[in-house]
Amino acid sequence: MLKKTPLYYNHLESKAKIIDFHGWQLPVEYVGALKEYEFVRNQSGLFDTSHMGRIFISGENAGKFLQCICTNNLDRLKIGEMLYTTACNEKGKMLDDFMVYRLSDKYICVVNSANRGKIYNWLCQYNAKKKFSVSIEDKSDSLGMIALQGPLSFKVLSAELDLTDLYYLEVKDVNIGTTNFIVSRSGYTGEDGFEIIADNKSIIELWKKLLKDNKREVFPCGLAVRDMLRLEMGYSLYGNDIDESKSPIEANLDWIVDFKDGEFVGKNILIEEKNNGVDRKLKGFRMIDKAMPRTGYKIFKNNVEIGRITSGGFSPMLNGFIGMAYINTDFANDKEIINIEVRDKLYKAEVMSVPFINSNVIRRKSVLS
Amino acid sequence: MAELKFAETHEWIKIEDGKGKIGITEHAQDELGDIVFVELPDIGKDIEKGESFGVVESVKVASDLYAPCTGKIIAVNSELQSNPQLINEDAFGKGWIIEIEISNEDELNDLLNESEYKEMI
Repeated sequence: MLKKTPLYYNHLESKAKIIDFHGWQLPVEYVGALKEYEFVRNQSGLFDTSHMGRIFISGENAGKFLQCICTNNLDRLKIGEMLYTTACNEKGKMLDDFMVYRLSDKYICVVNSANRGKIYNWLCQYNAKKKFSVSIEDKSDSLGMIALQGPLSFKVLSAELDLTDLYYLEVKDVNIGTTNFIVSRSGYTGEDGFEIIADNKSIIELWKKLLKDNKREVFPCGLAVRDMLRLEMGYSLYGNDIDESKSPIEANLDWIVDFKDGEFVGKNILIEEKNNGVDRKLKGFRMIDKAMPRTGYKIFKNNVEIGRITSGGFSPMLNGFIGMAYINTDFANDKEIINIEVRDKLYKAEVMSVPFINSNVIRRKSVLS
Repeated sequence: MAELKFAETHEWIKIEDGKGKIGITEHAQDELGDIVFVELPDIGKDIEKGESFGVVESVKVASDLYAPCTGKIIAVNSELQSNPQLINEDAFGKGWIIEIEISNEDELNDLLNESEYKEMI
């Protein structure tokens, strides 16, 4: 039985094309991915992200507990901030990549929909085994989530929610009447934008109001454009670019692996990988020859297979074809010329670092005191 | 008067004076979504009925193009190289893909007419 988000009927009403995404009935597009792309990069796009998991962790030791689960350093996370991390198993392979929000009384892990049960169980088991006595609650079903992304996001969302003093990767509670909105300035597109969590009814109301009051400024957007936008930013997609057979070091996510004091699951193996190097690295590439690179295509150098594509597609911003691939470390260098096999023919591409384009997020100006 | 026929694989062929212009149907372009790349064959190539002569790549998927009948390719729509979205915008007109010289007109009888195609989809 396919699952529906609280916004499912709104998507039908808007004539979205619906697909099965990891067991969820979600909109893949409304008016077409390329049009929706322009909306997000130039105006603002509204996404239903209710399928993602929202796991609440509270209790005296919640921070210490998550520090043992996450590869990134939770000690650096102040109240009102969020960070990107992975969680690894004992072999240093990624169980998931997710955002951790820190609010005054709790942490929230916003995890990939396909990994929701896995991460919840992992957290519960670790909590029991190490006697942390934190409270872990999967609130994904009772709460909805939407993302508003694009240069007009701040302007249109300000009319609904107080966004004062909220910058990139920051989060706060905004209470209106009895409704609690958890609002963060974040997203998966590289644009300025916000992600909002609230009870299902309030999320539906906010979705409808944003679209109704801003007909020329806010447009509903689907999964197809979301993939295009995140690929331009070089953001990994769990299930494609990263999974339980890859480590964050291989995935070029070293920047969210912090060999902080104390133990975290997978630490020893990741230290070893960091020191000794790994055989393959996730890198970006751009097609030189004209061809569409897709997931699973093989990469060659001097007629020897040196990697596989994990994500590929069209970049409207670059007007070209880009992708990400695990490449034998010897060839995982910027400007390396590689050959990609598309339907039995080889096409030239150039290895590059991600992101492919510049981000437009709005960061807090650092105030040194 | 040109005659329009359809293949079950969602190509159309507009037949006139022994030649046929070939493209994909409105229904096919809608199913594929935004088309971002078209791999065109070389002019002069012989193609057999049912043979793949090219590929359209949409944001979502790659889809082979199959020849509705046997013939020799006499023209390709090179505008698709810079503007593949012509297929989305005008599947039966400016979005045509190749033109062939039909070698066996009998094969056309196996194709669907418009109402048969509409019934199929």
